[in-house]
Amino acid sequence: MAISLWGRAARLLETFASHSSASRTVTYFGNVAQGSELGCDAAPALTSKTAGRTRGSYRRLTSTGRPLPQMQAGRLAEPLILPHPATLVEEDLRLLFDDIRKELESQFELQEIAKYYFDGQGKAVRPLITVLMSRAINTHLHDEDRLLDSQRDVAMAAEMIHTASLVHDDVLDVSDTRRGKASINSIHGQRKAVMTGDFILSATYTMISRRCCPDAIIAMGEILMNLIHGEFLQMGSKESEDERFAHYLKKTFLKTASLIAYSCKTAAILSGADDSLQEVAFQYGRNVGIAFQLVDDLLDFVSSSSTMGKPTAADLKLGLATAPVLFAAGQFPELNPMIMRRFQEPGDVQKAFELVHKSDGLEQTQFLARQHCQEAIKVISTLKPSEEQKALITITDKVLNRTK
Amino acid sequence: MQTRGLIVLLISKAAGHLNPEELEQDQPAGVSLSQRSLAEITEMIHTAHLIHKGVVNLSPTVFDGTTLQDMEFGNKIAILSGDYLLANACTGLATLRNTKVVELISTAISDFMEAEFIGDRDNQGNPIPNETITMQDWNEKNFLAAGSLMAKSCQATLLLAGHSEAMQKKGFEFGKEIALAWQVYSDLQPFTDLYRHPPGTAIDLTSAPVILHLLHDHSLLDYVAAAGNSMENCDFKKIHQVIMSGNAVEEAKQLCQFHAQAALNVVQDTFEPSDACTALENIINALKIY
Repeated sequence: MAISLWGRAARLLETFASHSSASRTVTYFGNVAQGSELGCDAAPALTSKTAGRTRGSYRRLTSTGRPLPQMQAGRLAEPLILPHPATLVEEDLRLLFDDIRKELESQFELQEIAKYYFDGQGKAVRPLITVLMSRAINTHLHDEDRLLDSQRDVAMAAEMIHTASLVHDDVLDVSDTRRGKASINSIHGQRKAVMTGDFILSATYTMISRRCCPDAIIAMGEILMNLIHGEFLQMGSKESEDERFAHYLKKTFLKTASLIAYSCKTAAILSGADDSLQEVAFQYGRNVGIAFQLVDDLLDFVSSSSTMGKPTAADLKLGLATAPVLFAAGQFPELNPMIMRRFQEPGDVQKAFELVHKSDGLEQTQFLARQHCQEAIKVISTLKPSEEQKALITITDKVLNRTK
Repeated sequence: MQTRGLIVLLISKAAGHLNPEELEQDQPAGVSLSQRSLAEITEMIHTAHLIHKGVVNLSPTVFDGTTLQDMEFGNKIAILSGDYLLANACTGLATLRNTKVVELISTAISDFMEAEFIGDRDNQGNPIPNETITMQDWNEKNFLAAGSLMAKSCQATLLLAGHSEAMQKKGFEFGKEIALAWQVYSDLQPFTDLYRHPPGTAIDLTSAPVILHLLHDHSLLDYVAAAGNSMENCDFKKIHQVIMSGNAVEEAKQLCQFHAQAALNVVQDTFEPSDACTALENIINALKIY
């Protein structure tokens, strides 16, 4: 199997994320107060202090950016050389996980458990998108390719909130593995897992309260409400087929897309964006998020456990009817009663799995994902062209074609 | 009972507002909308924490079959409800539009999470004492577990009213003392309220009376060791007997008086006499009755 560009980029990110702190220079983060002084309404100015942090000297364009032979989400006239999204912001993200671990400093066993998932092994998609969006918007609004401290904090917060929700989800779904290793609840028990999740959340809030303005904090708060709402929605089910799909899409937005959408929106707010520009950021995040989840649901049916790092056919076993199943039910109505009883009867999971593969459910899911990506590209193209804007377009491609 | 929220409201009222014109027109009680919100948020966070503490450890498996399924479902509801309350609290905090308050309260949440990890615990999370435990440990753990939220909410509500740092500190101190007094009071319940806690009911083995007893006499630790992996197996009847026969209960009562008096002092020294003050004093005095 050809090594995908995304795989390379992710490994590059992992290498840099796991560098020891010895190589960190003190001046990199410069004046932390700088970011907070700017607040939400002031236009960030390029001063001598911040000039050092602009892309300028140390960004190098890689030469290998050949487009993938598979589905092209964007309509490119000729094969352009596109930089890897991850390399564009590698400096910004390099010490991300280190900094997250610093925020989780605490006493006792809690510290080890809280930091367990922040070892740089995760895909870090959310911080990546947030940082790229921040730079793209800063370029669009102020013609400066830079990253505010507060925006970087939003990227960190996105990853932290995501991880906290994973910790709780693993307890809810009685899951033994996550990201290729044993889940916290399987090692330490459910109680400690729940407490750890809460702790990571509170640490995230403490961090953003220190460096972001009230509007940003409100936007981040929305994420939390949406995540819980999504979980509750998932527990319920709808009778009619049409309602079911709408229900599924709503749940997908709340559980997955909302985090990315609000992180992008918050990054825009911090840059001084007006309502319509905030909406652009939000819609990009929302569409990419939904596409991401659709592909995730698809991969649950096609991928093997070792590639994913977590068990597969997991959704069916949990009684969840995701997009592939819902599409397949259109062709094979015998799936409907199975969906209603949440695949509880013996043989249901196996039967449903087979039917999905027999139907065109997987193709339809991929098609829907592509549509969302195209929508994302449409909105992001309204920004001024920049490397980061192109990278955001490339990301939609990667989201569609990922294998893990 | 929602006492924490009540205390936040009372202290807001007792301290008053620096700029009464700032108060919304229809708040005759002298407490602003944001302070009311903060009181609700404090209650929500406390309740969320109680619910989350109810989560049961299911691995290694102690149950099987349908009992396991029921327990898993119970855990699920506990986690989701707690998360829902926490999420509401966080949204409420954000709407206050005061980043310092958000920081205060979110550090309070971190604090009581940390408290859950202090010291040895058995496989259901029940704390286990050892020979080296002292009242210093009790103080540290209970400040984090109980004191921090109360102290920081009181401080936060005074901050919202525009009070000085010095005044906020008083609020913090008051919250801390009353929370600690309250904690000793509940620690004492198994030994003072024999109707609701008949001997044989489970006791928190790191509660004040137990530690105070252990400081003089280590024989209790034999019962702990005999219980093996789970504190629930302890012979609580015996433990109760041993502690009642010693001086620990008296000492714990004195400790409760000490903290209650400290809280009373803060109220009387800091605030102008008022109905709210009297109400606070009454609450504190209730903690002195056994």
